[in-house]
Amino acid sequence: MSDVSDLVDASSAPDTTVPTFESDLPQPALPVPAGAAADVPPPRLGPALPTLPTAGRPSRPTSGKAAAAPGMVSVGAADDATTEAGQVAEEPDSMAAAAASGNPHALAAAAHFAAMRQAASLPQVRSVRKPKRRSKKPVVVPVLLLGVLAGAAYVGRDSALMTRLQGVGYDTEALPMIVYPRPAPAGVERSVTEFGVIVDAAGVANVVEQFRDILSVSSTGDRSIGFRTSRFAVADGAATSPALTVEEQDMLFVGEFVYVESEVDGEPWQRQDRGWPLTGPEISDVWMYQDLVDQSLRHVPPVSTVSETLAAVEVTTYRWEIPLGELYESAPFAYAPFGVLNGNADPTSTVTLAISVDADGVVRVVDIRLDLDAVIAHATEQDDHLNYPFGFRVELDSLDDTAPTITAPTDVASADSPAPADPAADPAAEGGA
Amino acid sequence: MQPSTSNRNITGTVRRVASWLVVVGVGVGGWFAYRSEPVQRALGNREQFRVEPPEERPEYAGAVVESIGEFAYAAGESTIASASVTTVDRATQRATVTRTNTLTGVTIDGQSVPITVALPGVAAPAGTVVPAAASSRIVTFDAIFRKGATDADPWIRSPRAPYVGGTELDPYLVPTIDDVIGFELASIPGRDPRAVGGATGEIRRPTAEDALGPEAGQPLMSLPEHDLANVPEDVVDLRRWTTDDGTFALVSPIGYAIAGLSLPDDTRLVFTYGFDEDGLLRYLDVEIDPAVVMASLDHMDESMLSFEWRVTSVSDLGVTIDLPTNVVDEVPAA
Repeated sequence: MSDVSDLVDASSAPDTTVPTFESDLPQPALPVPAGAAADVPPPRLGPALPTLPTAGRPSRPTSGKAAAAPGMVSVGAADDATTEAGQVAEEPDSMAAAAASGNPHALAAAAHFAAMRQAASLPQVRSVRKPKRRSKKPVVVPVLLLGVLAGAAYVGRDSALMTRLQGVGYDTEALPMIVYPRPAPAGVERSVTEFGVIVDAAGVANVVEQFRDILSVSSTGDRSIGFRTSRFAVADGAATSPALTVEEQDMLFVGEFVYVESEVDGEPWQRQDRGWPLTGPEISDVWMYQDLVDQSLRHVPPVSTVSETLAAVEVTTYRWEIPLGELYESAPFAYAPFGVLNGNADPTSTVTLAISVDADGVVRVVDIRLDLDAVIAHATEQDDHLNYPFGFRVELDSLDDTAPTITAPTDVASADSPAPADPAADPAAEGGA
Repeated sequence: MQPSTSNRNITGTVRRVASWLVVVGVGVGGWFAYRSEPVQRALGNREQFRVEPPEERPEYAGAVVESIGEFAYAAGESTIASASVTTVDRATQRATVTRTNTLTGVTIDGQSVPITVALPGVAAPAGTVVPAAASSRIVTFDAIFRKGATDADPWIRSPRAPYVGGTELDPYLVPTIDDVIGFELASIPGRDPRAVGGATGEIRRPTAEDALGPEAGQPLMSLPEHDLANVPEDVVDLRRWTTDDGTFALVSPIGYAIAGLSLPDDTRLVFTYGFDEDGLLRYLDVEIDPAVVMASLDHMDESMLSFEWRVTSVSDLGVTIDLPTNVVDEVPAA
């Protein structure tokens, strides 16, 4: 197959149809300004014009032939030349008029426009793409590429990215794995209630509710604790009101000392040395979401998830029901502070765990309960008349931006007895069978 | 025939509007594609909602656990290492516990005198503390056998509540990595102390100075590099963090309970976890800021300096624990 450039006929070049006017033009009678002559060369007409440079290619010297580069072909040259013949025929008139005017600028302009018309009448050159050769490479390369990609995907099917793309393990219902930043409040008010049951020698069960109202000052470590111990009778698997007995006592931790209210009204407070003075906030005063919800608990679907308002705070409450014997495996972080519940009932009995979390990840309420009947049965079997804890409720009442003030009592009698441990630091500290 | 100027303007406007619509459409489509679940998952922005398939808890039939707690005493400025070896057989629910107390260091006339005293029966320098004698006991589900004063004396058997939680018979005596590392601890990569220049992952609790900027707060405590020679060979994952007592209790309550710490909340400490390839906790070490310990002796008679706990072996075959034959029952106190 011959190259298309071979088809270009030099005879189709317009040099046979386009007149040459250069020799006909009179020379300018007036001098052209030097600058203009230097910057704008006199227009060249005639055979020089067909060699218009094609886009992207350097102009070639004129040779009286169309610039027929390989791959380029002149189309319609004869027709264009014929069509433009009428216009071209008018050129001598305009040029003659300009020459007759004697104005060199008019003459130059006429020559310029003539050249432009001449250029427009030239045969147009259009590009023709060479048909591409079809080879096997374009087919083989994508197939190989796809094969490599498929192999890489198979080898890395267990990689993090691939498991993400496969959607492995995503559960929009799962509790989020979020680490919330811990707040640094100036003061914290909270309460801890421990529920226990005592079965006496006669087989009568009483519920003992130990309530602790705690106010902590973060900056000084001072705190006040109000104790209230109530005992209730049990009927139909629940404590009955009113309480059979109620005992109340206050304790203040101020500076280096612990002040314990006397059990006898009117008696002075007892002052003891504090085991260790606190100089900073008690971090366990505020539990965060990540302190109770762990990777194991995320595998246990809650029986209910409720959005509600507790003490004017919007919270989300998650509730689980877990067999006591599986509490450690299911929720080790929630088990740890309440581990004293372990063993206080049949392992198959149910533990109800409820956690209320606000928008900042602060745990507002934790409530964990064993089945009371199961604990009574266990305590009856042990026959040791001890207090068997069966539940805790920890409530965060407020986080204060301003430090509250706790003042030491003035009516004080010092004592040499050792300081009691701070029970507020661990809600289960006083529990245990 | 050439289109009129107005027609060209309309056509150009339509083209421009169409171009803009295409651009906006691509942008909006890209935004929705970016927000789509698959793309967000691929970018790793949905990991917090990902629940990995629960791994089966590693089982073991028997284990040997060694622990050493080092205590400082106000009297005599001495330290005592209390070591115990616990061997557990889960099949028979039996455990042996051997505890020895060793006087590891005494300061006399301002000079540190490292001595080891075989106790009891060795006269200790004046002003030092004589720890309790070594003891051995065997724990079963419903009884405790305590070794007599001498080998010739019979063992003393006492009843115990049939309760395993928190005791040597606890089925979770050796916890797993998920038991001790929660979200927060996992988010703070612990450093391998065996690595070159391995510092510790720092967990810092918020303080009032936090408002001043991230540079404020308590500085890292300075501790001598602990001897890691006791790390069991089976440990393949060793991590260390620096924090304080209160934070340790919150971010890893199970590990904290093993160490049995009883310190002020703000006591600086370093703790190290080592896990085997099954994810079992095989090594736990807690080093407490010595300066804080010494200061606490102004308020307390004793204070823990360090605690090391390691599972030297776990076995699928169990451990044979024989009960003593020369036994007398404990006489209840009047």
